[in-house]
Amino acid sequence: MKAGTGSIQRLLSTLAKHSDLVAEAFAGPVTGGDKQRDTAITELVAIDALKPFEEGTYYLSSGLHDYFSVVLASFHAFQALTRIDGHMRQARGQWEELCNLKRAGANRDMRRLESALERSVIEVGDIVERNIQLLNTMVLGQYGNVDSLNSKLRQNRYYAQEVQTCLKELAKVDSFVQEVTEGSIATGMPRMRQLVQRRLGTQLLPWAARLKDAQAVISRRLFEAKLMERRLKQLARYASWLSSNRTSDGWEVDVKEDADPALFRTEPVLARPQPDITDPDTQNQAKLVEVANKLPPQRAARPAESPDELSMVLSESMETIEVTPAAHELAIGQLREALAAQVAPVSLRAWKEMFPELDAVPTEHWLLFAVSQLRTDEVALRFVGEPSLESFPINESFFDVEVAVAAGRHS
Amino acid sequence: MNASVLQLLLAGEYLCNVRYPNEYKALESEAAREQVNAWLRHINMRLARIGTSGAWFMTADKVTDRIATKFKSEMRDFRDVYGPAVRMLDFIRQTNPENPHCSPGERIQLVELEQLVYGSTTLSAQLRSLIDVIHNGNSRVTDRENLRRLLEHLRKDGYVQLVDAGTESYVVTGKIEQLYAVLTFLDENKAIEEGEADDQLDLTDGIEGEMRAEP
Repeated sequence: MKAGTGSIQRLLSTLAKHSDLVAEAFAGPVTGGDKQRDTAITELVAIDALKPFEEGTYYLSSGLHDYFSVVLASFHAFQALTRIDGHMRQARGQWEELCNLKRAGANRDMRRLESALERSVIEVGDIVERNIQLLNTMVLGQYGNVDSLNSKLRQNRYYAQEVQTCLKELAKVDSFVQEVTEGSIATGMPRMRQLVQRRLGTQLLPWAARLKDAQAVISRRLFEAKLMERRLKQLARYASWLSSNRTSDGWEVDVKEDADPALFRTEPVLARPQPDITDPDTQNQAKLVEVANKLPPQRAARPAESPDELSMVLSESMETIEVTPAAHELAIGQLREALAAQVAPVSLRAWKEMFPELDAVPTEHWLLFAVSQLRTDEVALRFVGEPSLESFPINESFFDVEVAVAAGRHS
Repeated sequence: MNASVLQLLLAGEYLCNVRYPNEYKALESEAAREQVNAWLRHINMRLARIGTSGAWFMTADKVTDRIATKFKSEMRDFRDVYGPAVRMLDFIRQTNPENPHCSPGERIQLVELEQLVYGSTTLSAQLRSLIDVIHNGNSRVTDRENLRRLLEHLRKDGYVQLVDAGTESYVVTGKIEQLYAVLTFLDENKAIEEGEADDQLDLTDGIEGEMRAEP
């Protein structure tokens, strides 16, 4: 026993010493190189960790590869589920021999065989567990070991068949468990009954459930794949139709009320929030004011251009507009009448004073207005003012204007 | 109630887990869907979904005459309404039949498309035949630029979403399933006979496959 432990330690020590090379061999075949690498390969070959394949090429032994695959959940593409048929045949043979030994009373051989049967049963359990782990890793990992979609689909089909085979094998395990359970009671070997029940019997239902879960995922994937294939084919067919029927735009089809709603393209429902200027919330009001301040100044409204329209006669009768003369115009009018009736000159200043309504009009304004109005009436205007002391005055000052009918007009 | 869900539904968007993951997740709850439905019923609308696991969208409570008429009109004008998307997506499918990138969640990289088109004179010619379909497509610009415009066209139509501007990577959105729903409807109504386009299709794909196989 001691020697065995030492051997395992030596094996592990060699593996640990060349762990880099072992890891490399797990990924793929390794070849020799420098002296150190060749020595490492020789040592690993010596403990059967590496197996020669071709000249100078070595593979990791299948036992180690399987162990790493299970522990690291790293499987290569299309990795088959391990068949348990062989192990089942072995366990069944051991069980039958055990029954024979029991009947013969060979207790010593029985103990050895019990131990072997126990190992076989444990192996069967381990293999089923490993198969389920492989399936889950592959299925849930979307077959990450390949990139091609078609290869993924082929793996889906492959594992769908593998699950079927695995479920059939579980049925064989079930019948073996039943056989051992019944036989152990009959032959008086309760330990064997306990062993198969604990290791296999109680696990059968959970195993079957897990396999069926994986089967369901695979089936769904296959359905989705078929659906996807169908869709891609549709896409290709309609694209091809569009290319080869350039004179056609579409089809006349009828649609029923219970049609798939997905057929009808969504139409947006316009929803535009308006600012609520009566909102009592101070924050909202502050924001409204802030936004309003940023608005550009309002443009002055341009006068509406009247459209070109045909002119229309709205009324044929001429309207008489009566103009009410202002006070100063009345005063001028009466002055004209007075001048027509008399010859004596009239002082404009004195004339203004006769009209109280002209009191608000400054005399200077009156004189200028009256002179400009009377200048065209062929009247004589005489500016009454102080005599100027300057020899050549620029402006002659006056304080009144006397108006008289021109001499020739009366005659 | 998630306000952005309502706003997007009112805006006529398709809420898929690619384009609107948060809103899509919010609608996973039955209670949330019921609330949204209760709200939409006030405006004679309801929540609907493409297929059983597709994008959520707002649809009318019932198919009215106006909606039916509009749909019939869209089918009559299929070339203008759905034709551009069908032709452009089919072009993307043909660039890489092994990995067609025409399902929600699939990633399309401009550089990858460019390499595939660069390696095939057939694809390049086909891209040029789409110039009248691609928005701003131009025969005087490079294939890369036309491919970029093609993807941008699909993005504006909501079929893909730009997820990384740096690498110009796009992801197909759930809206594409609406297009497939229409194609399925047309198939059910035998718009085109099965064999009518298939013969040509097999021929095209066969030639394309051979072209790609050439070194």
